[in-house]
Amino acid sequence: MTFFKIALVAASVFASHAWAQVAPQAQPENTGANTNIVRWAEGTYTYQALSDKRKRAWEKFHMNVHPDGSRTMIMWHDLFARNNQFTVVLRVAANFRPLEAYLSYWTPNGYKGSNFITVMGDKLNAASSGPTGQLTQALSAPEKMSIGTHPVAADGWHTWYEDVKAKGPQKGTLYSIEATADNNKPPLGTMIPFEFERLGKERVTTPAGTFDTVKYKLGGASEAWVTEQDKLMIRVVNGPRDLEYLLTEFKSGDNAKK
Amino acid sequence: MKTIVLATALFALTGIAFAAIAQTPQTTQLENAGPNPNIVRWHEAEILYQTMKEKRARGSERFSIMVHPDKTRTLITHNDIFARNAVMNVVMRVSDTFRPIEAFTAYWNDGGFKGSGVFRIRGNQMTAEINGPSGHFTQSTYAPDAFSLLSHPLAFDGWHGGTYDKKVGGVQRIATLNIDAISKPQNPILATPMDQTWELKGIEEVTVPAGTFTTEHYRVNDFDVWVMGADRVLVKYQWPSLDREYLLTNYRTGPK
Repeated sequence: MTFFKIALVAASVFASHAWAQVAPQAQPENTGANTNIVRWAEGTYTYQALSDKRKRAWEKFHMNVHPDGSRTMIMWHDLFARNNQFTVVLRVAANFRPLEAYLSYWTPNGYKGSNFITVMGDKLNAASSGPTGQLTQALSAPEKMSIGTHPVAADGWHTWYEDVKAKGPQKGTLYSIEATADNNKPPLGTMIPFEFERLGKERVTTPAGTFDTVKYKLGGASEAWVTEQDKLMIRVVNGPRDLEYLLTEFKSGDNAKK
Repeated sequence: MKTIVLATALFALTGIAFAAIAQTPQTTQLENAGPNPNIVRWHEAEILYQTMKEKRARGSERFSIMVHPDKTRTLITHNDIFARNAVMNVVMRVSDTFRPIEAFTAYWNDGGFKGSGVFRIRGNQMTAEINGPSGHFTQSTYAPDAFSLLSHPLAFDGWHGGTYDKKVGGVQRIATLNIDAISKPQNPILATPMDQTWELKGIEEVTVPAGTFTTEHYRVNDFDVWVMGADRVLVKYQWPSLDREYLLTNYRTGPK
């Protein structure tokens, strides 16, 4: 796809009135399922200490699968244990490779900033804004890459390029977003090596229900249980860090079956 | 505020080079057990889209509002307007006076993926980075001192009147930048200026599926909106000429 920029200083041919842009009611309207949502899922996670189940946060997500196979995930959390609040919108292609992401972070020191990331082919462009000003970033994007935005709902998507027949650890690249409490550091990312291992299929029960999952080792220290079709995170355990992320509420719909 | 714009490759520049999952500090570190100080208060709810006459369902919208310690507000919303085969995902942050600071929008309509982008306001300039089927665009346009950004999900419609001066009253013009969410996908989601007129009609008690609320009733152009509270939560919206209404349901607020 051609990547080009034009400056459009207050000039547009689309100057129609907002309210007039909406077609009159007389026009026939769809009464069935939305053709732009093939299926959807939404839920809530509880972050807690693994040992004593002390509550640390909640996270909510909503995912739409679109007719072109791409998926949009909206995630926002209240990580009160760390006084963080992250909001993320991530869209990936049908094979789960990232297309774009928007994120906005608050840390214990207040507003850290936002970042808008676009991945086109082998190029990643990011534009952040925050207390330190505006920054842009242009990086090479390896084929086997994912974006680490920190909410857990999309962490299963880091495994999209796995070889299901491979044994042992598999390697790729993570565009990991800076999310520390140092707000002088903008929420841009760094390409870092990422490793995961497929451990096999397991049926997992959480407060949200029972799910057929694939178990992975992620990033060396975490065990994660992920659904197959949409790679939704069901549970994450990090024993050494005494952390657990648990899906506690879940709803989904399949418009194709309506 | 002086804004520095740098284009730089930051590969391996930060010292934060460890995996996302490993970034969470160990819980042995003393952690907060009370409310998050970055969320002073919050609201979340659903908005039903339906026709006024027949009450035919047209779609729904979920939203969450967070008010931050610096008095800015973030609104996160996603909708499913199946009547128009439209999907809108928007995150917007506004100042304590409801002036937009930044918005992310992503739209799908009858033609498929319409586009996405981030709109950032600094002083009297709004700049946008936009992606869509036609490629990547940037837009730079004038942002008045008092204005609203029309991103189309209903939850924002109470905020458009955030600059209305109730001491003056009467019909007031609200400058707006309107994002094109509806035309064919080949048209990028640019923002263009338009005006709205707002008039406070009075304080009214309104009953909707979410409950009964004391609201401010405004006449806006040729439709009516009812909004409540300091955070201007949309309670009800009626547009008789188009036979449409939007009603608040499943409302929750906190801290709790």
